[in-house]
Parts: sequence; C-alpha cells; structure tokens
Amino acid sequence: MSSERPEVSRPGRYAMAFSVFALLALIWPIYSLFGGIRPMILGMPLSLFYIVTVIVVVFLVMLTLFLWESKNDRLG
Amino acid sequence: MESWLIVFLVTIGYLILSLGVGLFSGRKASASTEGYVAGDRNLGFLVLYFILGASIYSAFAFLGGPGWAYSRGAAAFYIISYGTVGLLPWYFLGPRIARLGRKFGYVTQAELFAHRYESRFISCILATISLVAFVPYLVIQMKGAGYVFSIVTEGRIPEWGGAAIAYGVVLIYVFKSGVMGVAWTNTFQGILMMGLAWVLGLYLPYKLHGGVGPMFEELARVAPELLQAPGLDAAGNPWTWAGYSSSIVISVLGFSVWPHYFMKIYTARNIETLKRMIVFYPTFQIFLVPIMFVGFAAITAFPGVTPVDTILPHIVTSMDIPPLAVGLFCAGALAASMSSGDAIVHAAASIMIKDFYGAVRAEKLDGQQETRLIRFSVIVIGAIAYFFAAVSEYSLVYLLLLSYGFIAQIFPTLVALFYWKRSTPTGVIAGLLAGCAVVIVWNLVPSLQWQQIHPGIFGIGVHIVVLVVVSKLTAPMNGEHVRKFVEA
Repeated sequence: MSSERPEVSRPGRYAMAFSVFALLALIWPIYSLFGGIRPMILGMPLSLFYIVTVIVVVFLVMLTLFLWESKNDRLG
Repeated sequence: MESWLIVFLVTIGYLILSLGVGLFSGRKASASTEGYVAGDRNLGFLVLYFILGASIYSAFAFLGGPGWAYSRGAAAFYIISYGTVGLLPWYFLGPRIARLGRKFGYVTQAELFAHRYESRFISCILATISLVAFVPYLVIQMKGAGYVFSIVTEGRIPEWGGAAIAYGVVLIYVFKSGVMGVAWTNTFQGILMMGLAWVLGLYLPYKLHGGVGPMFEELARVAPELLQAPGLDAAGNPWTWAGYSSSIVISVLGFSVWPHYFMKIYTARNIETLKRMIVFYPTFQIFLVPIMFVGFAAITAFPGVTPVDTILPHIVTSMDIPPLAVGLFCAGALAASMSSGDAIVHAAASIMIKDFYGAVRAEKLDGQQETRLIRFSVIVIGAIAYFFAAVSEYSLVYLLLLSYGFIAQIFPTLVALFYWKRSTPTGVIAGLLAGCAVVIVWNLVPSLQWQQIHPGIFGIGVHIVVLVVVSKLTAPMNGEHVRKFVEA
C-alpha cells in the first residue's frame, strides 16, 4: 500500500460522518428542538419518543452501511 | 411457605444457575493467558453482543436509571443516549485494533499503547487510571447486590452477607473460567434482565396509571418540568443544556475506551463479527426505555422515596406482587450487578498483572505463571472492593464522579495513536497526566465550574493542547515503527 493511511471505503466514510451526526442529534442544539412534551407519540412525550427514534435510525443506517460494505468486500 | 422464603429460593436458584453456566463455559477456552483473558480470540456475534450489552446494563442502570427518571425526569434520557452512539468509534478503530491485537498478541488496552509509544510508563499510567476508575464502579455493584438481598429477605440476610454471597459466585466463575465465564453468564443474565425490564416497565405503569400513555398524560399535567428535556439537576432545579450535552459527550468518549470493553475487541472471532456486533449494539439501549417507565410510574404513586436509587425495590416490595415475581425481579437486579461486576473484576485483574506488574518487572512472565497471577488478582481485587462495599464507610461517589472524566482522557490518546504520526511518548504522557489533573482540580474547586459543564470537557481541552505542543517539542518517533500502527 503506497498511501500513508489505509484506504477508507465509501460506506466507511459515510458511517464516520453519520456517527458524528448521530451524536450531534442527541445533544444541544438539535435535541433542544425536540425536547418538548407535545405532541405525545405512542404514549411517550416527544422528548423520549425522539430518543427512541434516533436509536432506531442509528441502527437502521449503520446496518445498511454495514451490509453495503460487506457486499463490496465480497465482490472485490 | 412464607413469601420471603419463596423470593429467597428463586434468587438462590438464579445464583446456582449463574454459577453452573459460568463454570461450564470455561472448558471451551485454552489454559493460556490468551484463552483466559481474550477467549482465544474466538467469540461469536451473540456472545459478544451480550457481553458488552450486559456489562453496561449494570446496577446503575437497573436501580439508578429508574432513580434518575423518578427524581430528575428527562435528565435520565442521557443514560440511553450515550450508549446509542458510544460504541460507534469502534466501527472504524475496532478492526484496526483487532488486527494489531492478533498480529502482536495484545490482550489488554495498555499493551497496544505501550507498544505504539515504546513506553512501559504509559502502561503503568493507563493501568493506574483503569484501576482507580474500576474500584468504585465495582463497589457500587457490590452494594447494589447486598441491598437486593437484604430487601428480599426482609433484613434476615444483612447487606454485607448478600454482597458476599453474590460476589462469591462471581469470583468463583471468573477465577475458574476467565472471560468465557463472563461471556456466557452475561448472555444468560442479559436475557433475564431484558425480559424483566419489559415486564416491569409495561406492568407497573399499567397497574398504577392504566398504561404508559395515561401515565405520561398525568405527568404532563402535574409535573411538566420532568418531561421537558433536559430535565432537572441533582438539586431539583432545571438542568442546563450545557450540563446535559457535555455529560453525553464525555460519556460517549469514555464509553469506547473503558478498558473492560476495549479488551473485548480482542475477543472477536473476526472483523465481520466485531462490526456486526457494533451495528446491533444500539438495540440493547431500547431495553433501557421500559426501565425509565418504572421511574416515571413512581413519581405520583410513591412520592418522597429516598434515596432515589431504591425506588424500584421500593415499588416491587410495597405493591401486591406474587412472591415468585418478586424473586424474579431480585434475580434480575442481581444479574444487572453481577454482569457488570464480573467483567470489571476480570479486566482489573488482567490489567493489574499484564500492564502494571508486567511493566515494572524486569524479566518476562511465562504464560502459565501469568494466568496464575491473574487468577490470584481476581481474588485480591474482589477483596479490596468488598472491603469498601461492606466494611468501610468511605464515600466513593466522589471517586465515581472522577472516573468517567479520567477514562475519557484515554480517547485523545487512542486517536493520536492511529491518526497522528508525529505524536510522541512524552507528548502522550504529558497529555494524559494534564487531562487527569484538570479533572481533579475542577472537581476540587467548585467555583471553577461553569454552566454545569462536565469537568472532563476541560480535561480533554487541556489534554489535546498539551499533547500537541509537547509532541511537537520532542523528537519524532521512528517512522518505520509508527507506520505499523497508522497503516494497520
């Protein structure tokens, strides 16, 4: 390998950017936009429903990137 | 039969099962240090998922989580949040760490750092930071276990006795089976806790308020300040966004470098297994949601309970719940305590011997000798923590507050290790020490605090500046050696 750093694949780069975004989504200022009580969704106040949504989104996005990356690995 | 006896028997049944699972599992790993500490680098997805999931799901989450929701409302969501993203740095660094571990035979965190920076002193510093952070953590787990026992037997077994029984079991299976004992018991304990969290988290709001929805509707009417993020601080005033956000950031940075987690990177069977586990890890956090419901359910039903960490046992024992169910609850609470405690005891013993004793000793230990010493240290660490938990009145809350601030200091070093070729041993040591010093000073001098920002943030800031400046002032390391790591 001639480059100084190991090659990071495209899904790998997306995953890194997404990780930073996920952290930012859970703190001020983004979370403060969703930190209220109403609307209540599925019986939960918005402040909690939002956190649950972030967990599910983090899981699904990372899963997609992971599957994409392992498909690339298999192909090439 | 008296109801406390049924509860007690269920709890004992759980302990016997844990012991059986823990002892049986050790047969699968070799007798070498690599087998005892890293499971011969052959752990599969499910076990890896549970070992990490159940380790974080500690007595703090099980008893402290509802306590936070009960007293501080939405502030408790920070506990769910940081675990969701806390492991993501591993997605990028984990494969590189695992590859290097395989190539150079590391089983602990400090071995990687000491090799990269060719410094035994770094190994000693990291070992010290780890042990200082581990002991209070372990003491809290033991206290939690003792507390559960004392409640379920209505005081017939004192707290010191309960802690001794539960941790006697832990020490036996960790001593005998090492990481495999931790792995398989955590799988069993993790499933038990998850099931229990959902049953309690849905049953209690239903029983007390007619459901989760009506419960939150009622709270929105009588105590809206609790549902509004970021909730309340420890004194009951609205928490600042800076305090909430900085606590998450420090916990996220610390999460991925807690030495007992970090070591598990080496245990993965292959890179694909490791990455898949990291991807699935946030799903474990979903199980903290029903745990929060428990705390919220108690706000109007059981006002004024102190200390707030006792709210869950308080509800369970004061409601008309069948003794069998109470017994299962106790088993779940013990599982939460023990599944974190076992991983910590095991890691602390490995670190004490490999990273501290190994670094100060002139000649190398042979494998069998090393495993024997680690086993012996399991007992020593257990005894020290037990002394603090049962005998000493010394308050450890202070040390616990420091620990995340300390542990988070390892993160900048980890990033420099892989991404900054110019970082030098002196720079790294100076940065680590400066960061920890700042955390201590910020805790000692309350007037320095501002906007309730976590002291660890200031520590990280100073750490990075010192790391960069001192590295630039000292001679660069041999390029050939450094390339092995930055190009791993």
